[in-house]
Amino acid sequence: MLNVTIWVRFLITVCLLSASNLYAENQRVIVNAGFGGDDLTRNTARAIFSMRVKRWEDGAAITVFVLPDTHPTHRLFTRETLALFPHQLRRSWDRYVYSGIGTAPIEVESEEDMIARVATTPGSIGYISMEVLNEDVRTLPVR
Amino acid sequence: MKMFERYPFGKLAGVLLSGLLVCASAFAQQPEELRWHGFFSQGVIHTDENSFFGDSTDTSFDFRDVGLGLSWQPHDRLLFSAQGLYRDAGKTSPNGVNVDYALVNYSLINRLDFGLGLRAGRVKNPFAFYNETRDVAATRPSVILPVSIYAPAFRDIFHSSDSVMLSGYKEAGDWLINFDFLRGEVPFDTRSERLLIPVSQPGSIEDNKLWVARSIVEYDGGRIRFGLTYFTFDSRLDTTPGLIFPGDLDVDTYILSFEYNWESLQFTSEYMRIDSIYQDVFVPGLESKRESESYYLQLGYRVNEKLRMFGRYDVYYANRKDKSGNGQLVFGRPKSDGFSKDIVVGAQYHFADNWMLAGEVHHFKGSASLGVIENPDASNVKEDWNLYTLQLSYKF
Repeated sequence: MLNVTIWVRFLITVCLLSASNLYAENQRVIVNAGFGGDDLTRNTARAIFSMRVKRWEDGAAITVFVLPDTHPTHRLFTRETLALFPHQLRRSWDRYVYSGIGTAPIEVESEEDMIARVATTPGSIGYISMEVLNEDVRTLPVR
Repeated sequence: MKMFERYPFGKLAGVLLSGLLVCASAFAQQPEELRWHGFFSQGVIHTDENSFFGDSTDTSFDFRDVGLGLSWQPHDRLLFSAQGLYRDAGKTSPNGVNVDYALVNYSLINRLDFGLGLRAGRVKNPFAFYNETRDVAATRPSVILPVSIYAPAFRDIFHSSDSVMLSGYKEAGDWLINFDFLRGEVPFDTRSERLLIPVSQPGSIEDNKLWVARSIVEYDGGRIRFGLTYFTFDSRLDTTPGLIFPGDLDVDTYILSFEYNWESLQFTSEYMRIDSIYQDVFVPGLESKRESESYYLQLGYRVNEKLRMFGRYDVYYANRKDKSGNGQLVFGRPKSDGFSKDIVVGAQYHFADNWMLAGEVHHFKGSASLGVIENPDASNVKEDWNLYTLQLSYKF
């Protein structure tokens, strides 16, 4: 009986893990093609999207693009890739903006806009849930 | 420091800033360099006894915040920003539009694991968890912030200052240590001076100096947060003898802050102690010390990304050695001015992007959270009272 319980738990765990991988794979961090790195750590991604770190390692300025708080891709990206709630990101931006010590990311309306803005803005970063077919944009894995 | 005495940082920065913003709008190459932001809220308050933000026993609408700000980033290391604020909180708020902040930020180091920056001008004081955004309704955990730590009556002393500030962070694994150090002065006006000098006496507050140090440590992207604030304020109360005498006031404040987020639950608690040391003020030649103590415990539950509910227990003692408030009688105030215990439940509904409707119900025991200026007649102040409020807010 005990073995059955363990087995069921194992199955559930496998299902949950594959489900979360599926989500993670659907979310892609995209950067302007001029970016030199190969990947980002989760902590780096958090630092950039929370607007704390404003420069890449080579000193170039970072421009951050995001979708509206209620956009499904934004919610999925925050939860799965950054492992944060959208309201946690919002709190950090609000503190910067309304106390005058920083800025919020630039909000775009759609994923198409996101790709177009990242493609034309050197040093920029964003995220999408679809395939990119634009040579000025690269996808970047978050580890 | 002579120059700074004659030209307070805030004024200087304000003049600089308005000039720079005019230039900025002409020269900004990308629209992203120059950005506007703002917020507004309108609340309605009803109390069954006592006045809170206007004539609230008859239901008051004197509860309004309007802010408009601008930031200009000519270079990724340099950021100028300013915000004007119009605030109506009954008789406890100043008239007209005030410079809420006007500052220049310069980033010295901005690496992933370590950062350091300088700020100067009129700044929002780094004080506990919520002070810097206390006027923006959507950033507050409730319509009325816990009065134990964010008392409306002391707002003018604690809220902002004309200062120079050093801020930074250090990341180590899943830990992020934020720190701020500030040296400056409180921008008193003839109205806020009355917080420390009785209305019946002429006088002013001189030579005020302020130091603030705060550190907030975050674990795992803010899942757990600890904060420690030390705030010290020295000044001379320059007045003719009356209810009080001319003398010195030193205020030392210590705040511990803690927040824990687990799934949809958020537990927040802050504890504050203020030691006020009066030299000659009450009795010439004598030093007297008053130690206030306050804390709150708050549990929030996020039903979904739009709806949040919370409950809170909030306690304040003006003098921790006189919890029943006997000492208040000396100043012609009721004993209940010496304490405040508030049980609150409420909800916040983000019904559309940038919009929020919030409401809450308070049951108070004690009158320390009331403005004396709105409740001047001690015989009318009630110890047990209830407050109901609704607030609509928008920000961009």
